[in-house]
Amino acid sequence: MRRSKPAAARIRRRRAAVAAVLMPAAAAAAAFAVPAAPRAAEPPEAARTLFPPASRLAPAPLNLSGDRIDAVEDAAGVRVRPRRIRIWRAEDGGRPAGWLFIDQVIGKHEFITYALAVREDGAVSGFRILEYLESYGGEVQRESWRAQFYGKSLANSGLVFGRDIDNISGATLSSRNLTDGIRKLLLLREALMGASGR
Amino acid sequence: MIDRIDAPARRGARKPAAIALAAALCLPAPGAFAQFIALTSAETRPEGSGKVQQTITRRADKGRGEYTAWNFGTSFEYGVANNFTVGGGLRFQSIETSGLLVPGYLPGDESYSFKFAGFDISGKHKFLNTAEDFVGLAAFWKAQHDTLDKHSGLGKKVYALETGIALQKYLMEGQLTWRANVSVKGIHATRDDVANAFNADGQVSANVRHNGQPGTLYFPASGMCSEEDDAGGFLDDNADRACFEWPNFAEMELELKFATGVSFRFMNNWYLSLEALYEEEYETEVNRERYSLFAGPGLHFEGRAFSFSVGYLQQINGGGEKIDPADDLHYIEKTDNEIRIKLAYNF
Repeated sequence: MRRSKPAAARIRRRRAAVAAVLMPAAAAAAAFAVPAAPRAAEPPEAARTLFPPASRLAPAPLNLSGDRIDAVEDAAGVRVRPRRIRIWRAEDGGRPAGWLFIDQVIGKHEFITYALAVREDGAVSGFRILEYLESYGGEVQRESWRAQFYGKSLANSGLVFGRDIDNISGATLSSRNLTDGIRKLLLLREALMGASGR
Repeated sequence: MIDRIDAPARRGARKPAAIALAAALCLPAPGAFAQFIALTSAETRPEGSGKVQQTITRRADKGRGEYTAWNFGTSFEYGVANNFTVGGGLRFQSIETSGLLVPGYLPGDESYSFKFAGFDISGKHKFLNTAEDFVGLAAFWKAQHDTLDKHSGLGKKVYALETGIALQKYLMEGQLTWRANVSVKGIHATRDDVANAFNADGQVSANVRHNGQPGTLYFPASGMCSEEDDAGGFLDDNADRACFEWPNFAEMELELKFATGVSFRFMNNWYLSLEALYEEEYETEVNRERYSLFAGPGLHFEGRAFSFSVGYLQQINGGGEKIDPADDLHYIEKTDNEIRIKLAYNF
């Protein structure tokens, strides 16, 4: 019976295994540079219709300091990705009529793009899924699920996933992240209001 | 709720425990999503959904001689309810080995391209939801029957029952997933007789194609030798003939498995994983018969219908029974490394 192969050969193999881990990781880090969402002046029609046709939507900058964004992240428990968030301020008859957000959250395998309309009093008035590419869990697009968010605000704190918002089998991560995303946008709106002194 | 909402010791060397790693690494338990190579998910399939998966595993290198084995698994999963998934699978095997002779484990060279190796049925029940609770928790079961010894490639009748739990947690909003599995497996195994591979004098016959150790090997009628020499080999009752063991009575063994790993989504649909699997096996006479630790990376694609994985597992520590006492890895029932490919279709 022959003896074991020399230890040096084994060490070489293990070094190769380590390299096999590190090289894809380095490639992954490079690949994770997130492309910015397109900055169209007008929101897509599916989002635009969350407000009355007569209302005017004007792009609003996400001009928050790093500290304020950190505070929103701490309160929301999720990250704020400014490059994935677009904001419009709604006016109706020259008076503020609310906010429109388009954001992306992590789904099971893809990003989910959604639009959120918020009234001046901070309550959700509309919520629509703009792009959903997952294998399962298309139920998040149904009105019956989305309607759970209507009227919810930070004040009435009805945005706890699993308690106030139902889980969806096959889209557990998607439904959780959408709930967290909406709470994050409400906190972001509050921070924007505070930053503008309104 | 809305619609589908849910919510050597001496005798030890004689115990070949052949199937130990086989099914566990060849086929995932039901509900495993393609973000890991070997770890079972704590998630179950949505009710009414299914998956067909093909797994190919290449096991190679026992530190001496030549050893390459391919294990092929075709499995099916179905979501009976949102929290209960059932599955089943067929296994096939090919093997090419030469220059290896390990009493009780490898009786000689073997070579064939493709043979039916066994089947299994499995189930998984989800208790805690990963996205909703602090941590996801599921229990899984698998019953399997094998007809081939994974290591020697020879015939072996194996009946095994495995049960375990799977834990899972989403971090970074699900961009990073952590999993852990703990399971125990009871095995009842009986090897086919190889006495006809030896001639009347106990010499290894041409059928065994023993290349590495020419000369006469005494093969006792009982299949068991009496003495052990200093090199880990066996001698007959008079301690004057090299003896080759091949017990063919039923053996009972207990295998424990601990596994953990993380998977990181580095872009839409693409994941990198790093997994570690520790296994040890116990049997009555020698207590712990073997242990091994494998670890390695995986690359995964999970699309809307198809998923694909490729991964590498390197044995980085091992012991218990050894082919050679100087080995620093366990080579009897394990190999130096494994490469695995999985292709699945979801519907």
